[in-house]
Amino acid sequence: MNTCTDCGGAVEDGYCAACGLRAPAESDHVEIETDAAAAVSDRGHRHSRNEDAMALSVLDPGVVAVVCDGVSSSPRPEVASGTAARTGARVLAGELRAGRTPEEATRLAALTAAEAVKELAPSASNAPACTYVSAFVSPAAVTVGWVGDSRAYWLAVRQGAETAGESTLPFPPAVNGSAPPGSDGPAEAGDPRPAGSATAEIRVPAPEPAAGGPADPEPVGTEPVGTEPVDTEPVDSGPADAGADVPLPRPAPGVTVPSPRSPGDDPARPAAAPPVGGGRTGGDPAESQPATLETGLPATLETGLPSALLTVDDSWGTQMAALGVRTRSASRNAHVLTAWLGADAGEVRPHVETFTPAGPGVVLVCSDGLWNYLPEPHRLAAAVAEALGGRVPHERGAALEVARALVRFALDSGGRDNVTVAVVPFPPPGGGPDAGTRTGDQDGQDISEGGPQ
Amino acid sequence: MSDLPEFQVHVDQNRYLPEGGQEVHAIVTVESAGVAGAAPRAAEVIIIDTSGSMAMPDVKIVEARRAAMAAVDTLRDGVDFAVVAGSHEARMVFPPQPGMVAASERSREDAKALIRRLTPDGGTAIGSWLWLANHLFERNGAALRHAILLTDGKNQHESPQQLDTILGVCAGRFVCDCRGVGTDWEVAELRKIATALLGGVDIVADPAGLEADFREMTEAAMGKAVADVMLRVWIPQGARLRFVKQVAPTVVDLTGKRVDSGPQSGDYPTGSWGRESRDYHICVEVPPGEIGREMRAAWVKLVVPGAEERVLGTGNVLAEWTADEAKSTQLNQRVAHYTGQAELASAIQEGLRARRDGDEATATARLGRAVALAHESGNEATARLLRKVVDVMDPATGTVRLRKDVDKADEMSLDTRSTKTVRTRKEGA
Repeated sequence: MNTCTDCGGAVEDGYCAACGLRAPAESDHVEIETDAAAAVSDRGHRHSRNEDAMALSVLDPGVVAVVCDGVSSSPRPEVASGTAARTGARVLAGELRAGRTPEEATRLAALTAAEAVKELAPSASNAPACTYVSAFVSPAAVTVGWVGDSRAYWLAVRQGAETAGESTLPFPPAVNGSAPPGSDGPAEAGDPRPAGSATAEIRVPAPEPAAGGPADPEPVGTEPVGTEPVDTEPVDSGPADAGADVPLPRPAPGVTVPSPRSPGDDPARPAAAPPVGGGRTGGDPAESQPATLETGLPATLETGLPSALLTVDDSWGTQMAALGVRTRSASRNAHVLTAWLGADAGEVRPHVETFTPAGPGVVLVCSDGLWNYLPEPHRLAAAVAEALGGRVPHERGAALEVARALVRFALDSGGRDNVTVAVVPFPPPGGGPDAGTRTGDQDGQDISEGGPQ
Repeated sequence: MSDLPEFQVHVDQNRYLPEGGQEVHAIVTVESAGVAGAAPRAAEVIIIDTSGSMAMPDVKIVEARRAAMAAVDTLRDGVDFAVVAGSHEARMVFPPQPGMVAASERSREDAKALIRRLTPDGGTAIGSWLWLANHLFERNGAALRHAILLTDGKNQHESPQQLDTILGVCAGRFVCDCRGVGTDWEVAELRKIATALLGGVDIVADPAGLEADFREMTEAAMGKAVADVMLRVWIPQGARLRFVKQVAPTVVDLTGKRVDSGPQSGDYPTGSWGRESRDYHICVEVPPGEIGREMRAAWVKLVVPGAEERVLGTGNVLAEWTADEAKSTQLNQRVAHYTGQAELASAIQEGLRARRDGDEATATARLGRAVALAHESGNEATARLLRKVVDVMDPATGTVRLRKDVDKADEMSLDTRSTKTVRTRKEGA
């Protein structure tokens, strides 16, 4: 950008040389797109710079996404978030390639990022700080790690939801299934790669024989929260029924999925990591919630799908909610962090959880600039479905469009904060016979980072 | 010079303006790391007033001679120097013909022997002395040029216009520190010369402290790594630069020294820089913007002009309009502090002037205000000097009584040192 958007003067070092108006910075709006995922970060309307940062790294198979939100009251928060996102994605991808388990790699990446942010501080009273959330999306599971209140969501997305009357993609899609018929997206017909190639890989693991059976998943130390058994279809079923009353994509037999949290939920309220078949959770105890369906939403939206928040905010509001306190002051202080990365943070103890999705969908990793406006998983899922407009998230360009749409939503809702959204379709491409389009050790090039430097 | 020192520029401000707000204040701190490569060649001219008034009382010429010899003693080996005697005309003392000699044990002794024989005679034409010094510097060609002027400051044999013309010529060519001898000189007049030539002014009152003062002054002058540095300030179209002041280590209003250097930008001379830090207070009036608008209200650069212009450091003064009153009403602490320090200097000068004019009410009010400001900001050195001129009843409220038996030297010390400021802690970046 070389001319001022206001007076047309030449821009010099970020400002107009005639009228002085600030020119948009590179970090004001950043987009990253890989074959497997996409991320968008925006300064928003109210902050003078983008203190969020993000990084994506593509593995074979799998995708690593990291989002960090600089703490505005700390010095150089944008440096903290950039350092943490870059370091986290690099270490996470590297440790996974070196053969560590997703949980070990996730914890190590968060701790290394914490150390890197700590080293930015000349003293504890001058400590850059940020939040941290990572997601490793493999063909089998999703492992999230976090410190602070940036979040990861599982959003079950039913393909073809908006194309009533058309057949929807099954899960997993048929080998020759491409974009849904009638999709007007730029789908490359005959490119079944994301779906077809993954068929063998995305088989949902059969649930470990849980003590209580499928209807009674028993995650360690956690009361089952909002879970319900869902009928399933065979994994290799063909195209599902068409019509307005298209069935939901079905997980494998015996798999349970989390239900959406009720719409009136306090966004800061802790959601236990969804106890899904094969999944491991260790989240804070949370209130048991009945599975409820949003009734006010159009039937075409993803009302009944098992979307869920995968992380539990390290925030004052969450702590209060966990204690059952619901006061005005609790909601006012909901955003006060109780954990972060920084030299003034004390010992950093990242939370790590693994979640096994029961069907296709997207993993959303985001800063509070988005979830402040759209905290409920089912509403996020609906927004994603709307952005997809009937396409599969794996379709070329679809993930980026979803990320853009969510960022746009936050901006249209006020854009009070920086907003960062990473969208990783599940199952991720790669691992299949034709995964060569996106394979190899591309560390460094693949770690695309957003945020100011 | 290829090895210019690195300059760090740090801007402290509250960039938030309320709706309709136009006034942007910032404290710009400039820190120079000092000598980067080989120190540039330095030259020193010592000017000693030998006018007839220096004989009344004759202790003045004795003091001036001693001061000049102390200055010679502090010259580093290899520094080119000259000694000039001033009366209604300027004449060479050392070397005998116009020129400069490298400092060595031998040349220092030769120079001191000649200084010892100086006797007061004739009138006073300070402009002509500066003119000769300028001539010596021009012929010598050293990059760092420093002069010390020792005088009783009564410029009787040239008009103020003549002096102003010569000051205009010499400004920017060399730096001149002025030292008043005795208690019979005009602080304001000597301050005018020192300010024009980017130097300081002080009183030679304490013979014991003389050598230390000169050593400090010449060492500071010779320790400079880069000369002729300009503070360049760019402002947006439609904006007005209300003032540019140096506020630390001393208050010097640079507003009137502006030289236009391009569209919307002006240069303010800052002289030579060694390993040191100075603070500047900049105030810009910008056209009002709508809520959410962000702009650069001023772009500050440290520049060494010339055929190959060098930018040593830059900093941004910003403006952003916000509806959030908590942000726009917050006073930046350093801006507030230095606003107080500048007021402290003017309160002292106005108070002393009123005192001399016999206006006791104004003198008491202004000096009382100065006491309160010095107390509040922790400027102990100035508070101590003030207590020699007024009896302090309550420093917090500035309740004072003028003292009757004030030593002339104390009053002049307070006047000359009124511009010395104290710093505050830097706020977080």
